[in-house]
Amino acid sequence: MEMISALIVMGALCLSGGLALAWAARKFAGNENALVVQIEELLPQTQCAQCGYPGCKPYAEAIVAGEADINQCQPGGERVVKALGQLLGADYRPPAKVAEKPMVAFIREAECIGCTLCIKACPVDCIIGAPKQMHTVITADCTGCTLCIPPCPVNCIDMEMLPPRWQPERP
Amino acid sequence: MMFGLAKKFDGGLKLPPNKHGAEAPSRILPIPESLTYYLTKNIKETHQCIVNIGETVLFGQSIARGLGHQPDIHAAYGGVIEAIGSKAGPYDAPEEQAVIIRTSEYKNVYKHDDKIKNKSDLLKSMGVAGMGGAAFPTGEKVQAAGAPRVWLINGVECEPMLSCDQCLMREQADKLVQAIRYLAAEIMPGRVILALESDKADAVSAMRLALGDVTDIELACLPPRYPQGGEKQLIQTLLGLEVPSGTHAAHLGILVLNVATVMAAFDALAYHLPLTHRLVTVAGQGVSAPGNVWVPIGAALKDVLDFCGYDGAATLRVTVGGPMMGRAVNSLDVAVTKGTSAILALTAADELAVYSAQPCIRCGVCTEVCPARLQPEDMYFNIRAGRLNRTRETGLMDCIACGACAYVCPSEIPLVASFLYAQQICRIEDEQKARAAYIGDLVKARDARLAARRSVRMGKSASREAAARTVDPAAMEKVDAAREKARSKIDK
Repeated sequence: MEMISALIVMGALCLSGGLALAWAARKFAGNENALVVQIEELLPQTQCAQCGYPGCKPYAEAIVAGEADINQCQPGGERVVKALGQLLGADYRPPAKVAEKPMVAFIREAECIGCTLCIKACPVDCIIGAPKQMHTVITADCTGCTLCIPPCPVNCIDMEMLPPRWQPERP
Repeated sequence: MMFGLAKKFDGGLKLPPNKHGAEAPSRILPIPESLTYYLTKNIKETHQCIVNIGETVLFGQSIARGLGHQPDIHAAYGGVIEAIGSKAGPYDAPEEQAVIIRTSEYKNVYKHDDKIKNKSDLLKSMGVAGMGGAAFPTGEKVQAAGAPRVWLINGVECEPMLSCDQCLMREQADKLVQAIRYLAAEIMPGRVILALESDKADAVSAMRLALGDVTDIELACLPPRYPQGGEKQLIQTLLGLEVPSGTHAAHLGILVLNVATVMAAFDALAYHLPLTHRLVTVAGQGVSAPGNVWVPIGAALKDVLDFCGYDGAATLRVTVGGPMMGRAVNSLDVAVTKGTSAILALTAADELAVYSAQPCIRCGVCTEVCPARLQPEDMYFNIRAGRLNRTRETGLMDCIACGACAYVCPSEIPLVASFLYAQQICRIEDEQKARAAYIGDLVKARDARLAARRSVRMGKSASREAAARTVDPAAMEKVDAAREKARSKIDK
């Protein structure tokens, strides 16, 4: 009799504990959307798609889904890998592609035929122009993503290097 | 005097004044062959050039427009624009973009139109910037302060070896009083206090004499202490108020202007004269005739030093600014800017600081002397370990780089140099974050635009379909009749 009551009590305890855990797992589940937002904030927002995803948000979603590694952001470089590693508790690894020096697109205006294809491709709307009018790049807003180069039918877009930004030396 | 019991700011040091040549009358630098004006600061664009190579400019003509609140730049002498390109700079970055004028035309003066009525815009267009060292845009400062509770005129000049403000007050005391009264009528402060240190006896007596019976300008003679001339420290000493971290004096309703800035602002507002010249202290054992010199902004350090008998062989280091806060320069082609208060040619006899960085012995003296109430040794260790965020939380951005901690450190650790480095890195990070946010906004704007266009298109096609479905029955009958006709013709 005593054994049976003990079994019933222990069983009930285990069951209630299990139910509580199951409820807590649903109630306090990590909010994936919040994590996506947090990751997206760390990314440089160039929308360059050089990570293999169409923009910074899709890349952040891919990281959360476990599809992408944390070292695929090229413009972010080492800084972003470190920040993502800190956020997600992942080990540091070198960036997959070494970021080149900051570049901006430049349209050779004499050759531009005014097809507006590059305007449609630009993710940050930094190319201005109209049909059959020459186009030009707002250098200050260009992120150097190179997405405007493939659609250009006359190959009149160059990537130009910006003067490297001076970094203070460690004393 | 009422300031005898004034509160003292935290920390600070008593330093030997070493003001060689302070008593000598000011001299005027002969017109240099060329003038250099910087368009960038640490490679970041601050000014937009508005002249072309080969163009002739007149004395006082605006050659670059300041971006944002930055004051414009004016030619100190007439001449021809010789070049626009990189030049050795006085800031941290080795080279800056600059406009170079070859002086040749001295007769004509550029006439500024007097359409601008707003005083802060006028100060900006006349190029007035803080002349105590940091070159903060004066127009912005005056605008932020509004009608201040207290207006402090800073003639403290606490840094050793510097004497340009002292010389200015001694020689132009009457004009300074006139300038203060003119500006006081413009900015309407509740109280006006002119602050000096008591060891500059000549300046104090000159100001007393010039003030005479004037009662609305209070004269505060403070016991010398470094860095009393810092804006926040001066407010704490005179008014017993502490400027909260991350804010400016304007938040407390206080405006602080250096004496030379007051003069420049007076010239700008009353006479529409741009800021083109300033008084610069030239000192150190490396010059034979130390003293204060009126120098056109844009003159090369070399020209100024040579005028004062520069001995290049004995000089170990040339700094722009005082011995505590100044920066060593690598090239004598560096030009004088609006914030250049001194050019020092330091030799072995000037007791140069040599940082040989021994381990920290945790003596805590740096914490005692810090006027911003920070813990330099803790910040230093965090910077060395790369924990910049932690350093930031402990007040890195409140460091005023006065150099008191490095001066007293028995282990000769380059404390201020580390803080300046860390501040720069933090500023660059902030900029990158702000840019990322800006680009993010552009992307969102584009997405919103595309979505709006898509919905408009969908709406249009939907309405077209709907229009096709609801046709006028009379018209439909006509169509049907026509169809019948056609069919009957085919059948025939």
